[in-house]
Amino acid sequence: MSSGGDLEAKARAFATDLTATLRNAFGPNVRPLHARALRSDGEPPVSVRQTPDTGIPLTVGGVPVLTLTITYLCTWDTEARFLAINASTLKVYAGARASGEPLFRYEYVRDVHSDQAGAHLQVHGHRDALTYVMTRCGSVTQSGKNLREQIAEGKAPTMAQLHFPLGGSRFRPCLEDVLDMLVRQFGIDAREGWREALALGRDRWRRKQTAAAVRDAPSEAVAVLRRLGYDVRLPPGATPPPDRPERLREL
Amino acid sequence: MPEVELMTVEEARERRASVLATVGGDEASLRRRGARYELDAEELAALTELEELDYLLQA
Repeated sequence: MSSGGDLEAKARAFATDLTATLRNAFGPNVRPLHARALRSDGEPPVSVRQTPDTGIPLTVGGVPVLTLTITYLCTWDTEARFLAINASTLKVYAGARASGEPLFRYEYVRDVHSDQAGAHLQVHGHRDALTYVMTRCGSVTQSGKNLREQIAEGKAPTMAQLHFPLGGSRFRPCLEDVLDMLVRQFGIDAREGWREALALGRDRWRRKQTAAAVRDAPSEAVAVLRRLGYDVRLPPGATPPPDRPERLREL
Repeated sequence: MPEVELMTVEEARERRASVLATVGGDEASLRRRGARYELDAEELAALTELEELDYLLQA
């Protein structure tokens, strides 16, 4: 269980890591992220958002062209030792402040209760051919039913309604991936050494996710380690931890 | 160094009311216009903060 001071320290560490990632990409002028939690005897949820509230302006040649907003809504793992991300949103807007409709957004929801992917990308664009296909969607799934109802009400479907899956909880992209894409493909001003710094952050993320994936499928991990020459065995009398098909099969 | 703001439930509720007041106090309209992507920067920031506070308060 986390004490109040422990909670504050862990929330600060999480926000500090994210701030460092942003500064590694865009320089020291990025303002620190802001964490919030309720005072509680238990393990209250934690939120982390960018400052300023209107988003982090991203520049090309010193001129703001895009704005990034970041929201992480966190909870605690089952043993209340680590912050776990319940939902996250990374949105990119045109211009110097976030307003109106984003250009695209990366989102993650830990517990999905619909047929939409937990980790997904939504692109706020227009493509007539895609809209046309969406008007002909089937109605077997809830999403399809919703889309049919929307069309029946005279509202045209939009590309942003499509949730492109991104690998579920374990294999979803990290913040570094999104920042890397913004620098490489939009030519956003970045500090010297950004590429290596983001690569190191990605390395840390994927090691953490690999560890989580091993907990999802210990049988695979044991088999792979044995193929690599390790002698892997449980102590006598120990029960093998089961695989977690609910995680392996999630969208 | 990032700031960690620890709030009481009352403080979070007061903050929520204050945020809503800065954008006119009509939450239903704010959410409706947000769903249509019609919010200016201050309104969008306010709606995002309302959703953040709702997440913290729901536990």
